[in-house]
Amino acid sequence: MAGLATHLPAYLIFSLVLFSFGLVAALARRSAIGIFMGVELMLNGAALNFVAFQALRKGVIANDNWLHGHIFSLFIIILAAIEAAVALAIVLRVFGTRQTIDADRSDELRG
Amino acid sequence: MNDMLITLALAIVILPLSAYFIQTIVGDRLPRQGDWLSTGAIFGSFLCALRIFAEMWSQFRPDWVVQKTWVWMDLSTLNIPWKLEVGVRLDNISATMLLMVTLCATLIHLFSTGYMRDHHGKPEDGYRYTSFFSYLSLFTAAMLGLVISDNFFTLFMAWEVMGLCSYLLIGFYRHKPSAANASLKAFMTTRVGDLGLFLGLLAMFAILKSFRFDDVYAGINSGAFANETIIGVSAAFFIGLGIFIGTVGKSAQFPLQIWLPDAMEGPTPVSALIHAATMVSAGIYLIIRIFPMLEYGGVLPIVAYIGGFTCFFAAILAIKQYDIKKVLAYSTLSQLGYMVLALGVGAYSVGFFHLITHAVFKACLFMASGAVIYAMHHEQDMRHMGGLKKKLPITFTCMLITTMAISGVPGFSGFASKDLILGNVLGYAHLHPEHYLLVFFAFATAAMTAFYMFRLIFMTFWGHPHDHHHYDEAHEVSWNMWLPLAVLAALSFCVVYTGSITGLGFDKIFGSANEWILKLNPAPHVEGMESSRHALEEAAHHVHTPTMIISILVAGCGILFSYLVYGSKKISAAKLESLWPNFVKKAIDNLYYFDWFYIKVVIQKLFLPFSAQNAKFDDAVIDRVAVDGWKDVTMLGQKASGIFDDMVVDGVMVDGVGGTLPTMLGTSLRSLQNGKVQRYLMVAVVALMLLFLFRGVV
Amino acid sequence: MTLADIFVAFCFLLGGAAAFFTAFHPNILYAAISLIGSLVAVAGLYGALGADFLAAAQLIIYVGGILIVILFAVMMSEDIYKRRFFEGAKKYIFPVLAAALVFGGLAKVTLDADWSVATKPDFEPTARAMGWALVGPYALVFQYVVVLLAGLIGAVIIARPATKMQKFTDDEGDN
Repeated sequence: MAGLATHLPAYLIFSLVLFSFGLVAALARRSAIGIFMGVELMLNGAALNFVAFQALRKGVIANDNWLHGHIFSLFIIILAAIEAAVALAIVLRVFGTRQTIDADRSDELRG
Repeated sequence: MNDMLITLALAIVILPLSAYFIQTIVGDRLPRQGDWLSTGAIFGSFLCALRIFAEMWSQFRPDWVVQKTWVWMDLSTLNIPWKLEVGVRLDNISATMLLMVTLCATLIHLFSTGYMRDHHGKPEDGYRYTSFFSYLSLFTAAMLGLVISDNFFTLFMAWEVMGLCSYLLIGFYRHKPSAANASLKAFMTTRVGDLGLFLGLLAMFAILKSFRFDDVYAGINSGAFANETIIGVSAAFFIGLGIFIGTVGKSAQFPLQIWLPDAMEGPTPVSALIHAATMVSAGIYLIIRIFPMLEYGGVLPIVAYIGGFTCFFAAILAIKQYDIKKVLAYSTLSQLGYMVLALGVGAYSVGFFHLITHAVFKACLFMASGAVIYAMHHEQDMRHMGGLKKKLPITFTCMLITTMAISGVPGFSGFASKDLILGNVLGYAHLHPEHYLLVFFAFATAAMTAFYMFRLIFMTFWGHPHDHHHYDEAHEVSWNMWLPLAVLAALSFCVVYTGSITGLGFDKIFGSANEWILKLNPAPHVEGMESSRHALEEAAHHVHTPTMIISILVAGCGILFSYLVYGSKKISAAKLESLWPNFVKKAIDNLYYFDWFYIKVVIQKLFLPFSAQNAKFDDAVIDRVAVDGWKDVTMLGQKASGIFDDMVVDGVMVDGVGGTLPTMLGTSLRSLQNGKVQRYLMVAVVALMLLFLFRGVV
Repeated sequence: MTLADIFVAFCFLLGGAAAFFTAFHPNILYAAISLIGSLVAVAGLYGALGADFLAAAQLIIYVGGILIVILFAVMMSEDIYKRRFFEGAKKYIFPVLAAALVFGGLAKVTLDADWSVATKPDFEPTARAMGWALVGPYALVFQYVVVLLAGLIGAVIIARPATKMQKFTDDEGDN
């Protein structure tokens, strides 16, 4: 427990945990919004990774003073926002045509 | 020249053999049922034999041999040391035999064209006239094949074919049960002899790896049989005895003589051919060929005693017979005994001499009796005959000549040969005084032979006819029946064989060609036997004169006595019979109880129960275990196979691989494409991870 | 055992548990709420790592913006108003296995690596540095993202309600 705040592998494992749970949710949730939530979780896990590296292994990758990791995570957040809008718009559209957002019922690609 | 002779020799066999085949297949449709075919074929063989004999005569030396050998089977390419060579051998003995056999056979064929037809000229027994001639042809082919063989193997083959033909011909009148039984009896009895012959041949081949005469003689001289023993006795003794047993069967010596009298059931030409001239002499011929082995193996004393017994006891039986053919049958037995006796004491060429002379006069005697029977409408009992002298003059003359030959009257061929036999037996006894019994047998038999043969003449041709019906109808037979008689009777004078008119030796004509039959046929050389042979020759020569005197005396007494009893009826036959004790009479009537012993004791008490036991064993054990048991095993196997096929082949491979496996794979793989995006994503993630993790492996 | 460590541990636990609920809870509303918790934990971790601007951005944009929108969508989804809360547990088997595979593989790689070169986080304000980065090295990317705002307009167009109920298989032309 001591030094956990500066123990890089801990952060990396935690982000991997988030990613895995997000993967489960994305693969196993029946509702489209549930799937989307999983995706968000995965994105967050990745973003955390970047920030952890920026903080605890600064200068190893890019030997300068820029905040590369932070910028990356910022962009992940921005893109997640845009993606949320687009995704929910699509969900609404799908709901409009077929009265359901059940992923299990959307198997026209079957075969 | 030699090749031509070999070709002639082969032609001698092939001619009658082809006649047999043609006669069997198309004989019925030929004119006269093809009797001219068989007769012509054997006459052709006679001409070939004459040519060969002429060649032999022109060479006129004891060691003349023309041989040719072919390889029949050679397994040496398979590294098995087994080689079978067969071939043709023409030497003085076989050339003489060929001439004798073909001549007798031709004459007998000619005789049969008359005998086998009834008095109106129609063939007896319908279509079987054809078969008769085809059997005769086959028989002569076999006999001639036997004579030209240069090895014991083809000799044995021909021997067996002759046995078959003897069976067919003896049983020719197959509607008669007695004939059928007789033919079977003949075949079976000779079979017993053949067993001994076969064992002897097997032993010979096992040691020598060859069947050829030359190889056997060379083997004896080189000591190949010196240290071999078979079941405790020396190999040479075993082989010699085995082969001699073959002769005992085929030439009807004691104890296998039972078939010859019964063989008279066959037609008379058959008796003439088979039981006078050829088949029974085949046995003697065999002894002649195997003689060195007999000498070397010490079998000769056995041979001599068996010959002596046979000739003596058969002569006794001949005295008591009323059937004309039975008399001749026992006479044949007795004369064969003489030949065997002669060979047994070591007189090789003398035995051969008697073989030839006996064949000629016995064939004539049988055919003459056939002529009598034919003239008397197949009456064979001499008690119903009588006074035929005037009715059948030619037949009578020929029969008288040959009877004098067989009785040993000087001037005839039989005298010369029998005298020599008696001389050699006496000489042998001089050298080995413990064998004087043989002398008694020989001389006593000579007396009895003269007695019973003239009895036959007197009963048949002399006196008053007993059956007037047949007598009135009797007349001389046609030319094709008396011609053979005349030819053979003409050859029954000893001048033909010894160049001496009286046979007494002092009036030799024909210069160096005299005594050809003795000079040209010495025994093959055997190491170590020369001295004993020489001794025998010396002894025989030494006793030559006393033998001659005694034999003439003995024959004369026999003829005189026979005249007194049967000719002028001065002495009563019935009175003579009553002189003997009852048990003797009974024994003679029952043929010394041989038949009773063989049938009642050996067959019924021994062989039949043994066979029954064998049959039971075969049923209960072999059939049950091997046959039925195997059936059960097969059924089990089949069931198991069926189950295997069902479960494994059908279940796993057909249904499984073809059915269940694709279904399972299909069903499981189909779920990868169920149209659900989440499934696709999961597969992609898993694939990515696997690629990532197993980057080194993949 | 500094305060920072306890805080970080707390964030780990909170985030992990919340993520678990997001993945597995049958009720999607509870899942959404748990997602809020998870994101908040991540924000906390940003803070512990010295990314003050990012922590704030996370809380404002992610939690306060995106997750609110998700919540609205959840509220309107049929699972809520139809009161349908079941998820076939069978559906979770393979995804869990896949996730386990992913987790296992990557964790092994992570732990096998040599993390000995470590630094300590700077706890300086980062807003200014972020601003300079956005117009510095990442200017081009910033412009791209701005262009992506056009996607928002596209989203609005997509989300416009249809004039009537349309079947999926109808061939209707663009709205």
